[in-house]
Parts: sequence; structure tokens; C-alpha cells
Amino acid sequence: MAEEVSSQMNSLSISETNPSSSATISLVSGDDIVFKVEPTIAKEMETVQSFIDETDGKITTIPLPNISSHDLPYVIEYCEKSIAGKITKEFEAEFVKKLNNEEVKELFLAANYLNIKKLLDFLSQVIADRIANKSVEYVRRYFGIENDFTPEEEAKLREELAWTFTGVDPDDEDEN
Amino acid sequence: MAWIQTNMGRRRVDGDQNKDRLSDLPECIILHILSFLRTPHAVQTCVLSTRWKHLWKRIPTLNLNSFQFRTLKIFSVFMSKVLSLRDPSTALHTFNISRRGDIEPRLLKKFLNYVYFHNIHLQELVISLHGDIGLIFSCVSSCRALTSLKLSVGPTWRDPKKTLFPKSLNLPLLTSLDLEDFAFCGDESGCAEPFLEFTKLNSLVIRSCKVIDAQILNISSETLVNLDMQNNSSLFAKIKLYAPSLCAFNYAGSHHIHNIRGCGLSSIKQVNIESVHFSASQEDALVLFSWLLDFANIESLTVTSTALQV
Repeated sequence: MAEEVSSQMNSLSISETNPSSSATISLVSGDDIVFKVEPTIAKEMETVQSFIDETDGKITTIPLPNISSHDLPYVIEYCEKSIAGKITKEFEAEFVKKLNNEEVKELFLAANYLNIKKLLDFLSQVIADRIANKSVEYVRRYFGIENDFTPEEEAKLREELAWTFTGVDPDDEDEN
Repeated sequence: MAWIQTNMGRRRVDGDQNKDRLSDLPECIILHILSFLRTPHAVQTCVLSTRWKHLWKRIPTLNLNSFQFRTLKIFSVFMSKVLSLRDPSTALHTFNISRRGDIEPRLLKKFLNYVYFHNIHLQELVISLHGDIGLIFSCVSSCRALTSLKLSVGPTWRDPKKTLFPKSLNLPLLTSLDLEDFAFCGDESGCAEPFLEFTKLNSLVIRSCKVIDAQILNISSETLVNLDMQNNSSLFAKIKLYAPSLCAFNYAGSHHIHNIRGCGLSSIKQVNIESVHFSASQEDALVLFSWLLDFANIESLTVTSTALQV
């Protein structure tokens, strides 16, 4: 998978090399929408920056096949705020309010792919907050985990680790 | 965290196709998410599937808050179990322990021993509890890799006395320090300068602290960017502040406003002054006015209305 993506990136980028537009960086989403951003934004995205560095800055159009045009503006917005030093609790609260569970996951994967540490940490906290105190079934669905325990195995495990399942604030089965 | 190519595929079709993508992530990314959970919730993920059965043992973070446990006994058993079952070869980056009230000496020793034996990689330590101060500080000072330290400790919760901040705490990599209920001791010249050793300090929070045997608290740091002072004792009158990198300053007080002598505050952009019960004296008004002269370059100033009434 890794090789496939990098070869795809090379062919696309070389065909679109345009030295005259080197002032801005063009990020191309998986659904072929172009987002022009300042080079400082690209610096926040380690994956993009290392790609630019590898080609000595000649290539300024970066295809991001794994990121949709729906998610990319959120990522860019966060990077812009981060550069401006304006990541506050209020901003993050507003930012996350707009996102449903599915979008949080999408953005988390995008942040991981682009290697933006601050965004990754922030979204890890958001995911942790959204699964804390939820039922086992809810968390399985959230992560897309298939339960491969037999009911007996699961019961035995719960018994062995009773010290973590009793006396601690309980799962809210109702929130399922 | 190293960048890892993930298997993302196409998206935005329907829920079914997206379903198993988070669980497809490499283990280090899942451990990263789990490190943001409180430890009891993290341990409970063992029942999700066979892959997750032992995952919690490799989380680099421990977050233990006694208020999550119905009794102290349950907290005590939980902590002992987690410390003994955790994978000993997994580096510990963060340990956060909060226990309102006293902690059993045996449990404190167990915790401190664990920290002591994992101190090579420990970057972040939060300790909020009451117990043997000597033991706590000797353990903290052994954690030379610490970048972030938050302390609120006292000998016993019944004793409201502030804990003396040790002069010899040498943590060369520390960038973030948060202290609550401490007393800083002054030197022969009547000046307390407790933060001189921390040459990389970026963020400093001082809450409900006081200065003893001194009239002046000296905060002098080339690297300090954020300073937050809340509800500190008014028994010392002056704060000397030299912080050329300081960007943001938060001040919250109750009855009295400290006289701050600032110099070299050329980077400061944001100042928040919050106060509830200023005695509306002319003296305070003058102090506040002299502050504003020191902060001549700021872009944003927030002052609560009660503070403005002085």
C-alpha cells in the first residue's frame, strides 16, 4: 500500500510541476479539489513538508489521495490557527462542536496521515472523551472492532479483572 | 510519533465501509488514543476483542484519580494491580496521580518506587496528594528527563500549612511547571528566586502560594512564554518580573494586588487581570496603573469589571 501511494504521488506531481507558482502550495484532495495554501501551512503538515524538501521545493502540487475535500478545509483551518498561536480552549471547543463522530475519525486519520502532531493529540483527546464512560458495544462500534471472544471467555476475563469493572464509575449501557 | 502509512481506502460512502478503519490503525496510534483516557477506562478496553486483551499494558500513560473510585480500598487495589500487571518493558511517559486527602504510606511507596524505576523516560508527572514530602521530592528529583511537572502536595490534608519548595530541585529539561500550595523561601537579601535552576522554562503556573522570609518574589527567565498567577498570598508585596520572551500573563487575585516591577517585557501580547474582591483602595489603583505602564506593548488586555472599579 505504501509503495503504491508514493509512486502515484510521484507521477502526479511531476506532471503538474509548475515553477512559477512556487509561492503557494497546492494540496489536491482525494476527490481532485485543489486547495492553495501558504508554505507556512505546509510546514505544519510534516508529510507534505518532507515531500517538498525531498524535491528541493521544485514540486508544489501535492496530491493527498487519502483526504477528502470535506476534511481538508478543517485541517487547514486548524493549521492556520496553530501558526497564529491562536489555539485556545474556546477555539477547540467550537471546532469540535461542528464535527460528528464520523468526521472526528476522518480528521484523526487525516492528521495521522499528514503527521500533524498538535491536531493528532487534540483529536486523540476528543476520541478519548467520546468513548469514556460508554458501553463496550458502543466502543466496539466506534472503533469498528469485531468481538472475537466467546461469551464464556469474556465473562472469565471480566472476572479476572473484576478490580477494574467494579467500584469504578460504570459503563452507561443506556447511551448505546 | 513516527508517521505510519495507514490503510485508509475511499470514504464518504456509507457507515459500513468506514466501519473498521480506526481498528485497522497500527498499535502505536491506538495506544496514543488510549493514553488520553483515564486508566480505569483504558484497562476496561481489554474486553473489546482478543487483540485488545493486553493492549492496555503497553500504554505509555497512567492517569489515576481517586475520585473515580468508590472507596479508597478500591483505588488502592486498582493501583497495585495496574502497576504489577503493566508491561515493564513499555516506557512510561506520563504519570498523573491525584488523591484528595491522605494516601497510605505503603501505597505512596509503591507509587514512588514505580516512578523511580521508570524515571528514564518519564516526561510528565502530576502529583496531587498528601503524604511524606521528603520521599516525594527525592523521587521527583530523580526524574531528570521530566519536561512537565505539576505538584500539589502536603504532609497531611488536615494541615493547611504550605509546603516548602525545595531549593535543590534540578530538572534541566523542564519546560512546564505548575505549583499549588507552596511556600518559597527567601535568601539573605530578602528575595525569593525559586525558578532560577529551570533554564528551559516555557510555562509557569503558581497557585495559592506564598513567600516566607522575603518581601520580593523574583521571576527571571529568558525562556518563559506563559505565566499564570492565581490566588497567591498577599503577605509578600512585590514581584520582580524579567521575562523577555513572555507572551501571555494571567493574574487572578482576591484581596490584594501585587506590586509588579516588570522589565524586559517586550514580547508580551496578552494580559488578563481578574479579581473579585479588590479592596477599592487608591493604593491598588496606583499599582494597577503601574502594571499597565509595564505592559505598554500588549495587543490584548482583559480586566474584569471589579478590578477596574479600584
